[in-house]
This record gives sequence, C-alpha cells and structure tokens, in this order.
Amino acid sequence: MSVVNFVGARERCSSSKLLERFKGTLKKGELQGLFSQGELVAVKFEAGERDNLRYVRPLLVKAVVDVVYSLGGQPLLVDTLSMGSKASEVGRRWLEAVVLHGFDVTSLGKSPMLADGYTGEEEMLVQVDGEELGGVEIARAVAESQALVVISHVTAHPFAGLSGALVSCGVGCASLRGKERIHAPLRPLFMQDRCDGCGQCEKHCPHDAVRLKDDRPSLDDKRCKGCAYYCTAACPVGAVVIDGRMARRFQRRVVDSALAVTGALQGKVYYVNILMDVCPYPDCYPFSDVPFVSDRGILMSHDPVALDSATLNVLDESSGIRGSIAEESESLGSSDDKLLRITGVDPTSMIAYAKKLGMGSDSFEIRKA
Amino acid sequence: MAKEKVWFADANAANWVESLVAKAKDLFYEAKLNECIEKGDSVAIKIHFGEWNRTRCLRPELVAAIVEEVKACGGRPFVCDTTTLTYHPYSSRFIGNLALETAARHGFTEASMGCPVVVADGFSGDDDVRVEVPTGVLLKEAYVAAAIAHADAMINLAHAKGHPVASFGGCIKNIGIGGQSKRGKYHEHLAHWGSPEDFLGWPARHPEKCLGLDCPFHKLCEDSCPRGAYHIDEDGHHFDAEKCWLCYSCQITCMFTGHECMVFTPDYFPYAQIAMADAAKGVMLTFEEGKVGHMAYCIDVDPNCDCIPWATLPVVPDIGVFASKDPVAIDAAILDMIDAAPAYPGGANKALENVQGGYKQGQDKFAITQGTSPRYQLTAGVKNGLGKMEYEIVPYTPPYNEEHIAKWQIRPTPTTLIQREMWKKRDFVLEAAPYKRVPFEEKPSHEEFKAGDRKEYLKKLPVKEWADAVGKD
Repeated sequence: MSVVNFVGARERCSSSKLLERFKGTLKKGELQGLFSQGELVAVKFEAGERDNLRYVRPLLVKAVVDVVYSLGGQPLLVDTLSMGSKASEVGRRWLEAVVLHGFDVTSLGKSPMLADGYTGEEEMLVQVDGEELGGVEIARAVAESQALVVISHVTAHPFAGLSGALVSCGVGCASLRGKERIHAPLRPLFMQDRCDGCGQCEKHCPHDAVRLKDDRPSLDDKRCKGCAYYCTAACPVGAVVIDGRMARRFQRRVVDSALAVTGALQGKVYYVNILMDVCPYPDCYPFSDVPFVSDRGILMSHDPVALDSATLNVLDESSGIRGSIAEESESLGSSDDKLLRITGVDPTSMIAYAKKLGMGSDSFEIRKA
Repeated sequence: MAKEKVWFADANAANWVESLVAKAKDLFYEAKLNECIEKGDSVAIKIHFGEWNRTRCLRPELVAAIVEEVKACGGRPFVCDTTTLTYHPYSSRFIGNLALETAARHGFTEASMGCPVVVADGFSGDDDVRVEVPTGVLLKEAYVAAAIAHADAMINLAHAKGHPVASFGGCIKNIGIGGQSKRGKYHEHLAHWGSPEDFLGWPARHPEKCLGLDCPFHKLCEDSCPRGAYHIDEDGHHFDAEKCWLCYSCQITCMFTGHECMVFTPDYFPYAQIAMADAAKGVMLTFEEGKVGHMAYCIDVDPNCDCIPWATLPVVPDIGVFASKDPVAIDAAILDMIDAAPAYPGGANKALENVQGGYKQGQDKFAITQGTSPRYQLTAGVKNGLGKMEYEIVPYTPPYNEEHIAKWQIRPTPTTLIQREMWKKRDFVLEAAPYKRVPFEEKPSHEEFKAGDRKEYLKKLPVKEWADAVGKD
C-alpha cells in the first residue's frame, strides 16, 4: 500500500508553520534513500508564464532545495520551456519570468536553469513501452541527474483534467520537442459559422499553422504543434475550440512520457503536489483565473498514481468557491467530480492508465504531518 | 586602404567623467554600437564568467555599464558565457549549474547585471546551432551556442589578456572560443586531426619523461582525464589515443605541476589561433550585418586568461577601454598598445630579468611570455573575412562640463539636493551637537605624531629588496 503524506494548509500559530511541517516531512524519511551524498538531484519547478500570478511561491521551492542540500545531495534547480513562441523568444521569456517571479539565485541560493536549453532542444531521446509513445525527448539536465523531485502546482488542465504529478513529470520534464510529441494529437476546430473572419487566430499562431482562405481559417496540419492554446485564446467570438476527443490520447502520452522519465531516473523520483492557488488553468497559461477551492496544503509521495488519486479526493471533498469557475460549472458541492465538470475531461482515466502501466497503486494511506 | 576605426579611452581617471565606467558608456555611443540594436532586440552580451578562484575577472560594474546602455536603446540584454571543456581537474564551468555558481561568485547575477545571466549552450553544452564557414582557413563549420545564435544582436564584451594556448585573448577569442558550444570547442581544439604522432590533434606526449607512480601528482593526473584515455602504473604512462579528445586537462595538469610528459608541440599554437579565428567567423555568420559591436577592457592584463583558476601580476599597467565594429582591428590595436606600454614590475617582467633584463620597449610581450606570436589570429581573421588589421585609433577624452558629469551618475541630478531636503525635515546631526572633543585651545601639536625615524624602521623590514628600494632618501 502506498503512502501519501499530507501537510495541511491551516496555520494556527507560529509553531504550526506550513514551511516547517513541509521541510520536516521531507527530511524525516521521504527524501532519504532517494539519493546518495553528492549526487545530482534535479528539482523540477515551474516558473510560470510571465504574466501568470499564481505560480508556486518561491519559498516552497526553496524549502525543497534546502532539504536536498541538508541531506547531502546537490540540487539542480530546473524548469523547461513551454510551447508557443519563436525559437529566439521562448528562452528569453522564461528568463524574464524567473526573475519577475522571484526564482533567482538571490532568493533561492541557487540559479534555476532550463533543463532543455535555450530553445528547448537540449534533450535525450528515451525509449518507452507506452501505448501511444515508443520514445520521447526528455530534458537533458533531468536525464543527466541521479534523482528527481517534481514540484507540481495542482490546477485543472483542459486536456488532462488534472495537472498534478503525472502532468508535471510527463510534460514538465519533457524537452520542448518532447512536449510537441505529447501534444501532437490535439487540434483546433474552427466553427466556421461563428467566425467573423477577423484573422486573430492566424496572427497569434506561433507556428504559422493557421491561414485564412476566403476569410475563413484553415489549418496546416503539418505545422500545427497541438499547443492547444494560441488560436483558441485569440478568438474574440469563441469560434475556435480544441477537439476534446483527443484528450484521451493526450492523457496517455502524458503518462507514457512520465514513465519514460521515471525509467531514465531508474525510479528515483519523488513527487510533491502543491494544493494552493488551485486554479482552472495550468501555469503555462499567461493568465490564471481565481482558485476554485481554498488552499488545502501539500501532498507528497513516491507514488504518482497514489498521489494524483489522493489529490483528486481532496479536491472533490473540498467545497468549491463561490464566484469561481466551480460555481459556473456547478461543482460547488463537496462530492462533485470538480475537474471533470470544469474541464470536460475525466482525470481518472489518466490515473487508471498510469496504474495499468505499473507506475503506482491507487490503494494508499494518507499520513498527516 | 580604408582603416577600421577603433575608439580608445585610457584607464587614468582624475574626476567624475573619467571613471572607466563612464568612458566605456561614452565609447559605446562614440563607436555607434547603439546602432547595432533595434527596439525589442534580444541582445547577447558575451563576457567571460571567469574560472573559480580566478581573481582578475572584469569587475561586475564594467559589464553592468553596458547592460544599462543596451536597455537604454530598447534592447533586451542577457549576459552570457558558455560551458567549457574540462581543461583542468577542477573545472568549474563545464556544466551549466557549476558555470552559474561560478558566475555568481564572480558577481555576475541577475541582481548585479540587471538582466538574466545565461549559459548560452545549456546544461551539458550540447545546445548549439551548426554553421557552415565556407571561408574558414582550417575549420569549415562552427557550432555556435544556441542563445547566441538566436539573439538578434550581440555586444562582444571582452577582457583583453594573455592565454597559455592562444597567446592573447581579446575580442576574437571571446567569441571564437567563448561563443562556441562544447562541440565547437572540441572542434577548434583540432581534436582527432591528423594522427596521434603529429601532436596536433592529440597532446604532445613524452612518456619517457613521466615519473609514473613516483610523481607526487600522478593521481591528480589520472583523475584529470574526463575520458579515461590513459593510466599510470609501475610501467609508466599508457595512452589510448582513440579515447582522447584533446580537452588539454592532462597537459595543463602535467605542465603546471612542473612536469614534461604531456605537453604541447610549439606548432600547435599557431594552428589553434587560426582555428579560433575561423570559429569567430562562424559566430559572426549567425548575425546580420551591423548587428554586432565589439568592446574590450584592457585592464588587469594578466599573462594568462580568465579561464585559469588563479591570477598573477599583469604584464603591463592598465591601458583602458576599446570599442569597434571590427573584431580584428580592435584586437590589433590592443596588441600594439600592449607592446608599446611599459612593463609592469614583478611577475612576467621579473621572470625575464635574468634572460634579457625584463621586457624591452615595444617588444611583443605575449610572444616572449607565451612563446608564440599572438598575431596569427589576426592574419587568419583577415584571410577568412572576419575583419581587417589596418586600424586607426580614435582617442576619446570625455568633455568636462556639468552636463557630462551628470550623465552617468546614480541619479540624473545632484543627490545632495535630496539630502538638503532631508536635513530640513530633521537634522539629526545638528541635534547631537556640540560633539565631545578635547577643547580646541587644548589640542596637542601634531608634531609629536610624525612617523618615527624612517631609516631605523626600514632597517627592520623583513625583505632586503624593499628596504633597498624605498630607503633611498
């Protein structure tokens, strides 16, 4: 039976500080045995898209780095590039974001690095026996490390349902090319009768995959990378949607990639899910709408299946917040399938597939710090 | 033939406008390097991060000075260097995380630079763009670090000093070596070129000179090879040429511990300079015409490079700052000025005292101290189209007036005026007056406090040369 540790968000006095309980739990047994003295330990965090306001607080990332140091490991603080910009721009945007968001050497004691290089091409192709993928490109610095801690900001995800341990590992640790491979099945659908020919979709696509012909958009399938974002976000009349039928394939690719990462790290992976600022969109979006449940705390485990299952349980048990997307999607109650109602995608199918591939167990015990 | 202009401002300073920082900023505009930058351009500012324990890197403010002007032009700068080969056993910049730690120790961080600090070829040094170099004399391709290749413009901001292999490192070297990814560096080291006995694509080896297990540094020596290309046992030194990719680590370890087994053949150095000039051309090919400016600070002119994990006494006193649009012309001008400059006492000059009485006026200082002319890289740079050697120095003296004094200060107007307003609000200095001192009329004469008899004091100095040198009165 897998163990999932829980550090609750409530802090009633200075002796119940979340940071102390978090560090204490990590130090007292969770991270021990993951790595030996002097080994390179990749600590994967997400800086968040530049204008996003709800990325993980730097103090929480620093807590993990400090614990790795104190246990004798050499932390390598890494993030990877997100899809959706010119080669010369992607790296640049990340550099601006890390500083603006407080993830730099002055605040963390360590400089964060891009694990996949300035243009997302520094990678290692790793074979995997998945149902969708036979191999995927993993960010180089992650692949070269001896152990990995994945810090995940838990949010809803439009195509996975849940952005938690599996997405942060599978997508977060893939290089930019690996991410394109994972997103490949996703495609926009243009509702031609809603379209007014404004051309914003063509203008915003960073991959030049949308062209207007006779005032109506058409897709160059070869150029489309499945980022599933720019065209749909740019449309002022809601005429571009992403084909939800592909969500299942996306979920399977996420898990295949996560399996590749754990294989490359020989299983030495630990997962930390931050259930704070739980918003409707993942951190790769340049905006993030208000949280839909109140801060619940931090869940952590060696088992990503158990962890994401536990995460879903906690989210579903929580009341949805009024005035948030929970209200609009009728998931205010404390036993609703919140993520399914908010995104239209069932996260449990992703978790079930991960269990099928042997990545973990959905039978677990929650231990409170 | 038209000469390339090289702007120059000297290192002396006696007032506000003459600070090297202020002069460097002035030169950026005098040499029209601002014209390389359009609003919104991503601008690589290529510097040398310096190796761990190096103590003559550029002071951070000398780099921040240029970052500020790139921003003022509307550019979006980032300060960068690349990963290195493991050319000594304690290489501190061969992977991205260590390179950033080293940069931070030398004071290069986002906070001090005011812009991101980037390892331009990624964590492993694999992040690069391959470029054909059709005019290359030796190299027909280059591997340019990705962040540099993808930048819209670049300021090549060099520290001019010597180098144990290139003889001299200025603007050509800063991009020729520093702009290459790891692959590019192995390529321009000429690794695996010719055959092992040529000693060009492989170290020059004299196994009969290896002290084997009796060498006090034999473990360091074995550890220093990142590819396990040799081992040392009772029978001496055993080398597997297939595995060697000429990172220089064994040579540096052997030579700098005073031994003679793994060394360089003198022929190697000219070829290394020529290859470096080809690689610099490769970097320039990733930018459009007119998008790169070159600057160099010729101060702390150590005989060896910032890549060396220590620093020694310079060969010449500080000379000044240079700027140009031509990377060959600027290096030619710097070398000529170094040769013309007086020798700095001690260090390399002292080592020459027994041989020829120290550096001679106008002598090629790096040719003597490093053993190879530093000018191969210039001629190769002319041959491959990198630039021209014929230069014209445009000496710059800043105007001395109120407006120019104000130009590069911390705030645009005198900060004393801010203090004036603060004293008006609350004068806490006045509040503590009068201060407790010996009454003015009772102050002792300062005659009693003059330093004691100097000649007696000098006789007690521990080093005879100091006493001889200073006790001349």
